[in-house]
Amino acid sequence: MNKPVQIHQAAFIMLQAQLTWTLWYMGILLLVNVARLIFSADGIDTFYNHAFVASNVYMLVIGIITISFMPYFVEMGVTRKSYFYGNAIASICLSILIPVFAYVLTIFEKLILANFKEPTFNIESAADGNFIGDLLQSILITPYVDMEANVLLSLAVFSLNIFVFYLIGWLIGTAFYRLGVIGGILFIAISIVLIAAKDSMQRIAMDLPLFETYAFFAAVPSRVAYILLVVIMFIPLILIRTLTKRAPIKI
Amino acid sequence: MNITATNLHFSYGGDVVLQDINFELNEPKIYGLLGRNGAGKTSLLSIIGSFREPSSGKMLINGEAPFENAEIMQQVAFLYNKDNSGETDSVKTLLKGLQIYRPYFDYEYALELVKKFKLDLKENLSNLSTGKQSAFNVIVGLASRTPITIFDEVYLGMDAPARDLFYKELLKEQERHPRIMILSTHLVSEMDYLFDEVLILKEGRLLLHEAYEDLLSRGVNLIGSKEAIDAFSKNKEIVHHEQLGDTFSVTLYGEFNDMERQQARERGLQVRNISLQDLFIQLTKEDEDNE
Repeated sequence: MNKPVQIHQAAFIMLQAQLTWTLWYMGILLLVNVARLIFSADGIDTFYNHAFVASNVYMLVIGIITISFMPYFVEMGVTRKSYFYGNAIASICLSILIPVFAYVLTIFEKLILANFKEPTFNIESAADGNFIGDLLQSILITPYVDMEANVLLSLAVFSLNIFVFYLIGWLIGTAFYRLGVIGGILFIAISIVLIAAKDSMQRIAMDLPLFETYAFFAAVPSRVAYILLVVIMFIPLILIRTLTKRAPIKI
Repeated sequence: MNITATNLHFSYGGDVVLQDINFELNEPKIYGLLGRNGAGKTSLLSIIGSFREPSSGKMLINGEAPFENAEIMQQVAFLYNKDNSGETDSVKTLLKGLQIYRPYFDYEYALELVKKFKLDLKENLSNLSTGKQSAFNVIVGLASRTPITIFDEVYLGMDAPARDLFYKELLKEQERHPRIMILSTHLVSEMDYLFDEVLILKEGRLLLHEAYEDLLSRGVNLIGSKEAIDAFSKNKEIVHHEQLGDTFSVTLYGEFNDMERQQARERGLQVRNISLQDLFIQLTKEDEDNE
């Protein structure tokens, strides 16, 4: 008799579904980018830079809806545990693949266009104490490393950013599923704190210009910031597992 | 396979939904789970299907708790009226996808059923009518061939001919691949012949669990004069009584052997067995409904 669906199979099924969504997303983003290249004269970002910013929102959104895999799996006789670990693996794979796709597409774009324009995305500190502004900035101007400067570091930062946004989305979606509207809103608040902490740690660890509002983090040494960065990523994972471990399937 | 519930309780949001449920389902038979709306049918089935955990007491399948138990969960299919509005895949893709989850799934049989229920394989599930979506659920349940298959009122959306087709397929399947099938319903009159055993829930409690044949022989309706009826209904549980002029009618529930029947007829009483539907209605009546 076949064994019950294993974690890696669940991971594969969810990765496959999310990659299908991602191909649509990337395709549309590419069209927009090409259109802008054609119709604007100067100062247009590369596809990579576009994807760097837009993918945060994309990952947040698919993270939110990814909780819907859970009732599907339980109906199919797959445990919540396999769902959780499967999707954790799928989200890591997705977070690595999206930057790689963006990079490869950008190289093609450059080859085709030949007249490559320098990325003009200018990162400047905007520490004006405006909290909402900082939040928006967190999405729009994420910790950024130019692809031209250091490819591997740039890809790593890209992956890290979108992975964290995915986890935040997953956490919020899970909280709404399990705890209802009030619990969901509470978890949005928790998520905002997590993003602020993540950006601050990343800024210190990698010496990037971002989120300088929270000056009190400055005391954290860079090595500790790396560790804290990992800890911050585990917080949503632990919360999601706690919320889904014994979650009833509502029908 | 075997399902055992011991002192099972289930509360939801402060309301007690199931109270002290005890039963054992040991054989691959068709079990009818009857109960009025809100009696706790779906909650009970959700616990068997690992959708929920009991608040206290035990629900065991082959001696193990099914919740988060991969081996058990693979053997149990719980079909219900699902909202498919977010579904983006076609009937064919969805059916093919089942093979990885259900070890005994028979794709050929699923295709055969798709034809019988006149579903369009290429159509997106969310675009199908309510009745066809119900038929899809039925197909999944039948073709998965899980040793425990639960249908929670999935047939409500189907029209009468489709339901009839389902009942026939169900009986055929049960002959070919016997399994524990649990059908919850309140369409008692048209489904009663399917059941080998019947469980009735009333206000969260298990009112009875008996073989269908036994249950029928226990429900008796007597019509005649008051004196004769009083004599025969002594020491019996009266579940319903009515008076039309001088004629009395009572429905009794309990042992009523052939000799008693004979004697009742000799006293001029009309004796007839009542249908499961009538028995269900009388037994699950709310107290304030009486009279």
